[in-house]
Amino acid sequence: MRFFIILTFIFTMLANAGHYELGRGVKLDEKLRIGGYFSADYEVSNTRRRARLDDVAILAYGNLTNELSYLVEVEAAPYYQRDFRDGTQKYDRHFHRERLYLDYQYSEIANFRLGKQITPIGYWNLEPINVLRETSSNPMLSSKMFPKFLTGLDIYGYLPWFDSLTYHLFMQNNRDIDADYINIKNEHFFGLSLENEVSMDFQYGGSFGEFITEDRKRVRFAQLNAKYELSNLSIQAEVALDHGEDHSARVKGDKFAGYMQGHYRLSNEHAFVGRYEYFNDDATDVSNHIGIFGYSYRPMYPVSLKAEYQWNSDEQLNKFLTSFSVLF
Amino acid sequence: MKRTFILCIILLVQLSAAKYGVVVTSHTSKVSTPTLRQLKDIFLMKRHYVGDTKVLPINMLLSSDLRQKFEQNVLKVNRDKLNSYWIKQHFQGISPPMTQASSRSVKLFIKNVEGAIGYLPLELVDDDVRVLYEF
Repeated sequence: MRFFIILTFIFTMLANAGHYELGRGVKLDEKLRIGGYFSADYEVSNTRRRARLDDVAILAYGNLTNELSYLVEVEAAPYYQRDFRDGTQKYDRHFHRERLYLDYQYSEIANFRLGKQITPIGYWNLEPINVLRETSSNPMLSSKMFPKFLTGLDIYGYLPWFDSLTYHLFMQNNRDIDADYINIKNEHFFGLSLENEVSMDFQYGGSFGEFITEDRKRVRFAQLNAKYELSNLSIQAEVALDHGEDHSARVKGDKFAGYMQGHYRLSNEHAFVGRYEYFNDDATDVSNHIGIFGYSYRPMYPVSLKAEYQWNSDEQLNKFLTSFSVLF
Repeated sequence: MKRTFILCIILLVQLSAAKYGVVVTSHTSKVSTPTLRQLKDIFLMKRHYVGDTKVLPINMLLSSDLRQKFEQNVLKVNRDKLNSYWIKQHFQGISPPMTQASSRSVKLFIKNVEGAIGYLPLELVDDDVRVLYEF
């Protein structure tokens, strides 16, 4: 019910907005722009046949002064899901605080973001929502290697004397604002990311840092990323290595995850995508090679229809996935 | 025949070197001259300072020919890519630069707001503005 009230509210606003373009939100004032997104997906595998209304999210942001801006995002996921194989249903109508921060633009080389924010690591983590991705699924790297969110401080900017080199120095020494809604619960997280944007078509970077998980496991991580666009073809790759040890430093375990994804646009609307990924976890003795081939249709950029097939080295995990998502 | 060919080549070279507009700031502005790279980042809302000065980019309306030339020659990005870029930025909480309806209103804005940077056709350049880049 709450979802439909929110949708009605948003569509009323859209209807009354002077000029509205899908995917750009509604600007009510310099201090307030409202938007959101949702996605629905359908998965068929050996173990399940599942439909979900997955992300349902509302975001608001704006400039409070020349230097100070904010962003608030609440999300429910999965909002509703049903497994047709065993007949089970699941709801999560609770809207979690996904992002909540203030941004202070102080200078070219030092700016400050305080609050709950997306961890500034790599590419996938920064554009994690279905509609901005080229596949319905996420690589394992995006959920297994470092906390997706940071509740703390990020100092960022351009490095002096470098036109194209940016940095993020981020730190957290407290619980997450909404600890039930994070992939790796932690109370200590810091790191440094560097990104060299050689051009809009070629970028590369890397990160390293440390976090301590809820069960007192200290994990040090290092990560590298690169992307390249050549007319209709774009290639993106990321690798990450975790080295973890427990409180006594006796139990150790390394994790590795990496993926390479190619995306070929036949036109603005139609594209094919292929991805190879590998994940290995010494502690749980899990190792998986995953291959994905998919098709993406965007009648307009903020509306995405996708279908893909996933081959896993464990055949039980093979699956077909399709999704529909909109950013508004 | 040879002379006509040479004339055509000269004409083509001149046409290719033709300037459409200039990126300007106020004559009294403290903004130092940005590099082309910095200029591009300013209009893509990635960079908000040049040196110690806060900058505020101003765009023309989407339908403007000058804006199209600016996107081609300074941003060097086509409209489709730019459109997807701004949609991705919406998710990051970043809006495109504010727009003004005419070159004269861009000029007036630049004149009155410290740190404002915009682009004008060549014929509107006078002592009120300082040229940062020609395109």
